[in-house]
Amino acid sequence: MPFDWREFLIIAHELRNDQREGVQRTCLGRAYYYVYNLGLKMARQMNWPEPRSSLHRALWAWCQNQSNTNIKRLGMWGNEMYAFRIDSDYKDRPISDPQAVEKQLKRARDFEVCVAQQNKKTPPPAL
Amino acid sequence: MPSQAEALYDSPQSIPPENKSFYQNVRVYENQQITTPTPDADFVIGMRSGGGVLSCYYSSQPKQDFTAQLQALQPHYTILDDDRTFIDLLATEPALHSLLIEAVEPLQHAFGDKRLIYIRILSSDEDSILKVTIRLPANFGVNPESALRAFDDEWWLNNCHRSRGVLVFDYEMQNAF
Repeated sequence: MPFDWREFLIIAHELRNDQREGVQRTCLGRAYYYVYNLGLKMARQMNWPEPRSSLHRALWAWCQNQSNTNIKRLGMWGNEMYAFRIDSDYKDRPISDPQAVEKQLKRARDFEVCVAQQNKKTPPPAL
Repeated sequence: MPSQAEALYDSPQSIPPENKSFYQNVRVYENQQITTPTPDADFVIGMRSGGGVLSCYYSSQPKQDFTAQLQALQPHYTILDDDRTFIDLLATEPALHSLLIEAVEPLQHAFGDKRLIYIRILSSDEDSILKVTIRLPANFGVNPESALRAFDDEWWLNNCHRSRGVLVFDYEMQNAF
């Protein structure tokens, strides 16, 4: 049975009120990797010419290049979330946005709803 | 026995004939000057010496003044990275400057005038992106997420494809807690 990437989002939700910085950073990263893997799966199904490097930026750039407005939005949201993920995993300066986790979780929800619409499926229940 | 350096210069040269189809900057010849390209002369794509003539091959891309581009952005954006790093990114991503200039008006429309807007380059071990953050007061009034989405709908959605995934817009509340 393949791993369900949504477990990352569930974990991020469960931890969202823990104010320890390491936990907040983990929430930002896990929520991002949930949408990244959703986006990656969709793009591969659409025959995305996957590059060998810079996969994250390339994925969101590819989405933003599509004529389909839904997919363009996914590219915009994915990149917004990627920015938080870089901050949380690569920078030791404090996360400057006190609403970062809240925003990341809301965008992850918007993202999964949009992907479900794109696939003509019912979105998973909100957490 | 020749020295190593002499041996190098005495060795037969196997330089191919000059390719006349290349575009050449004729002013180099008109002025009868041989100039050494400076490190920022990135428009020179090839040089070689032969028959007493130093040939320079140029790409058709004009040299751009990235310092001027940076200065044009500074009235609108607070750039948190050092100038050199930022200029390097402007040089790598040619659409970035025009996108940032064009974004000013729709950003003001969505978030209001005289907001502090800062720019920061975020780098991972894979790539770099440029994050534009609009600082909003705690009493901003409108739902800031809705304001960001209005900006998306008004302008960014129609222009994001130009950025090659390098540009991100977001907001940040001051004194949110």
